[in-house]
Amino acid sequence: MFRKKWVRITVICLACAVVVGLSVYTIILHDQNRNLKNQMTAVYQKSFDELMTDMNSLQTKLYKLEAASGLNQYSMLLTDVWRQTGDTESSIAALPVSYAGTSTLTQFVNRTGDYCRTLLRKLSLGQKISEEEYVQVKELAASCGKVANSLQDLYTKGYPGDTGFTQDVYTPEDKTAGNLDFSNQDFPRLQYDGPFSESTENKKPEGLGEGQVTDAAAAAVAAKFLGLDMAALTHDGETNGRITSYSFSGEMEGRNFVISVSKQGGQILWYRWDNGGGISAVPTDQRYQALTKVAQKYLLDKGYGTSAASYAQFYNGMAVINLAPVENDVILYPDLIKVWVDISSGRVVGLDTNNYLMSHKKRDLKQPALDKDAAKEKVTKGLMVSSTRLALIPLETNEEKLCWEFTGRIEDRDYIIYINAQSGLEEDILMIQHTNDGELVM
Amino acid sequence: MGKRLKIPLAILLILFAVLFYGCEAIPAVSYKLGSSGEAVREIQQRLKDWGYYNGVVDGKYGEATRAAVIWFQKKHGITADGIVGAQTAEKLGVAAPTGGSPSSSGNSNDVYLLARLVYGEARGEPYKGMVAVAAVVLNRVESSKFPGSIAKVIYQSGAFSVVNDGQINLAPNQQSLDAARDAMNGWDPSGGALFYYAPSKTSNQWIRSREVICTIANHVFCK
Repeated sequence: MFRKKWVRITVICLACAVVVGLSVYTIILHDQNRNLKNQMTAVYQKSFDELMTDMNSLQTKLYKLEAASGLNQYSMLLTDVWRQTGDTESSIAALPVSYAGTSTLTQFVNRTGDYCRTLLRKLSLGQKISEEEYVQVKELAASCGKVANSLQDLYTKGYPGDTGFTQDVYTPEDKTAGNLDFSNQDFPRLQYDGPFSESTENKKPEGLGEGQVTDAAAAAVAAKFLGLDMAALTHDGETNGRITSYSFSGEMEGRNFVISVSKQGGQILWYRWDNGGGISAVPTDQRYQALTKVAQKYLLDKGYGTSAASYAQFYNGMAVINLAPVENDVILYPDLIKVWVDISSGRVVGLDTNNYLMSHKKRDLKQPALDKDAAKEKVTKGLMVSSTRLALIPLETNEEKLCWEFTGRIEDRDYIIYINAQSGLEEDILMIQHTNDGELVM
Repeated sequence: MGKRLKIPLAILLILFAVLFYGCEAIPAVSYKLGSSGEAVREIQQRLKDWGYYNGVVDGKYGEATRAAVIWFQKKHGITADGIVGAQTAEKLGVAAPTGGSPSSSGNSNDVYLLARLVYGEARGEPYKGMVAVAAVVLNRVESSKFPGSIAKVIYQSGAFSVVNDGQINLAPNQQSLDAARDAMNGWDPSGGALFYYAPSKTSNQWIRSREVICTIANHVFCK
């Protein structure tokens, strides 16, 4: 009797302890949850507030350009706008709202910054802002104002408020996304050339050649390229990207390969052959030179002409060597081709011709107005020049410029400086970073 | 505390100490002057292939091998002691890597972050499909409609599910690191895609209405 009672008391006590424990635990969890939610809401709210401030401030600065008359004010205002668009873009990206609702706003902000940068470049070259460009700047300012107003509207309606934002990724049909939706807003179309401009994003390939090839003809091209029988290729379908292509795969010497052939012109777009790999070591300079020769011969044999190597990365037991075709002693960087060479076997295991197919064309390069020595006068005296050659380089503005290329060193840092061979303008400065994986050109 | 408790406690402490010390003290195999065998042969072959060693691959660690190892170590920023320890062996690819970790090179943070995304989003996909996922991130960086850096694109609110469920924080495997590097070196099997989805897992009409560029295994890539 006594024992039974004792057992009952114990069970009841234990049950009570469990209930109390769980309750306390739930309260703690609830508390933590609420704190986390508040913290996240604060981050979102901050981004929203910053976005409002940024749009207002962008509008003011863009309008101020019409009131300015001196180069120093132009430069300061344009630099400010460009910097601020970077912050604005980050604020938009931090909001937990759908891509569909904000992508047009991100694009508008990016292009505004990009546009102001091209104006800065113009001014730095001694040119003036044109009437059309002033009109565009005012349109940009007006659009910033509109965005700021619609954000202000949402704000006065208590958005986002203490409920936080709703996570509604990629679902614009969801009504909650409508709160922050710029998909239907008309933003001005900017006429200019820059990294984010329409002209750049819609650039058409120029190096594909004539005529469309069929799936079967493309397979024949791939088979010939690899020295295989067509039956060895598996058709992997089509890719309707900027360069439309057919993909194939198969096995060669017990290892898998993938290859892609363009529809227009039937050109090899890329090719990769699996290698054992896994090794991240860097070869000696001598070994690297030997690998470079392999890559150059490969390109020559495959019909890309003579080429020069610019820099390389080493990973997965391979060297990826960047080579640019050379015509009349001019290295053509817009047509850069990448060749992957297996370091131990010295065999080519990969090719990427995307840049070449996008840019390669018959070019009518003018004789340089400046000779090597005259161009060298334009280079900073601090650079200990180790080599010089003529190079065609692609600019952000989609143009190609014939330049004198000066490779050299300042203290222990390596640089490549490009001097326009016609105007003497310093077109670009690249810094070479020596990393554990090879060289990076920044 | 009673005496009776002190003794077991001491034993327990000693046990712990031994256990932890044991974890630290797994001896690493190293090869140096005088070593010989198959492993040395492998080291010599690798050094020869990478251009550091001109001698015979005979499996005997002599002066020439030592000189080659020192050259290799200097080139890779490893203490040049002429001994193939864990670090040198890993770099030479003759020992299993100790797991993917960021190296000290210029763009390694970006490579590592991209590799983590690839590992989270596309492990189990064919290699080409992994590179394509990495390429989508880089295409977004280039696009005016997305933020302008790898970190901003990957951590853009709601852009990738692996960021939400924490898989982004898993250590990437070698294949993911290679895929990230291949994409950063310009290989884009996605054909310039800005989106991808797994049709079997998505009911989202908006993404399904995007113009399709290509399909690689379980992923549809689109504009």
